[in-house]
Amino acid sequence: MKSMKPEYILAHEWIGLEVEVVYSPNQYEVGLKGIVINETMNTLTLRTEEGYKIVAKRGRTFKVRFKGYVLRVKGDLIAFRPEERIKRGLMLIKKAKGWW
Amino acid sequence: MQIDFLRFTPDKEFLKCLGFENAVVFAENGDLEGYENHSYVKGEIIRPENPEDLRKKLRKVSRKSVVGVESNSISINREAVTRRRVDVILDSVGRRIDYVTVKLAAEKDVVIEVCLSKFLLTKGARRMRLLRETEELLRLIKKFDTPFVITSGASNIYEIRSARQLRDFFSFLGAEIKKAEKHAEILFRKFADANFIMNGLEIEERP
Repeated sequence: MKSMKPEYILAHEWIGLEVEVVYSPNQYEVGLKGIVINETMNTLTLRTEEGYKIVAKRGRTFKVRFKGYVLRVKGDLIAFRPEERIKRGLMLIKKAKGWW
Repeated sequence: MQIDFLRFTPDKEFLKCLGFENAVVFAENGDLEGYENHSYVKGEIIRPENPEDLRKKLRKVSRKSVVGVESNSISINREAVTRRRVDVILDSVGRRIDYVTVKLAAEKDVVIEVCLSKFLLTKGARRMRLLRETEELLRLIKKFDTPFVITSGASNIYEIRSARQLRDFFSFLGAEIKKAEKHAEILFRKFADANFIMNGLEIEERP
């Protein structure tokens, strides 16, 4: 099976992925690591070793493991509802690639 | 990261002395010498005579190089902004760019170059007019949040200036220097860094 290109993380489901917060204006959020168990338009809920943590998407940078790749993603790129992700994520990819 | 857009291939050490980390080197027909030895990014200049000619020339350009359009005509620049293969609208003494083009560039993510060499090549009333036009252009760029870069645009060693001089000069004209540097870095990394996918998304480890 042909593997998915890493840029499709923007159009992919995030629930179930392993995520680490690598940059945040709130220093206590940096280093939070866990599996995404829920997502809203502006937040991700992570299941960490210390329990469930809700992290805002905007202004944060996440390190995410996706199809064998480790990607660094700015939260502003995924700050929309999960159900809108395919439409808006693909739009972002197309714009970046110059297909739009 | 300080990136300069040039029309000749300078020595890397010399460029570092001026405060630039790297450069995009433009040439017509892509016939550059020695750019690979210095790890510069290659750029191709297109100088079309009319919009039809632009479309024809864009079919022949390489996908691995930055594509810049240099023209004195408003209609060509406007057409260039709408073409997906065009990365940057290059600056020159006679370049004419209007309100609509700047707005379209913001939508289509095409970078507008604002260079210093045009001020060095002119004097007197012509230079005054250029200053006024550049100030107006920078105001429009700020209004529409258009991607832009400030460069020396030098075609020989005598036109090149240090990064600090560029920053000081264009900040006096009202340019947002941080944004310009960010846009130059994005454009550079798009072609030079295999791990860079888009602004805000990059690969850290491959399988």
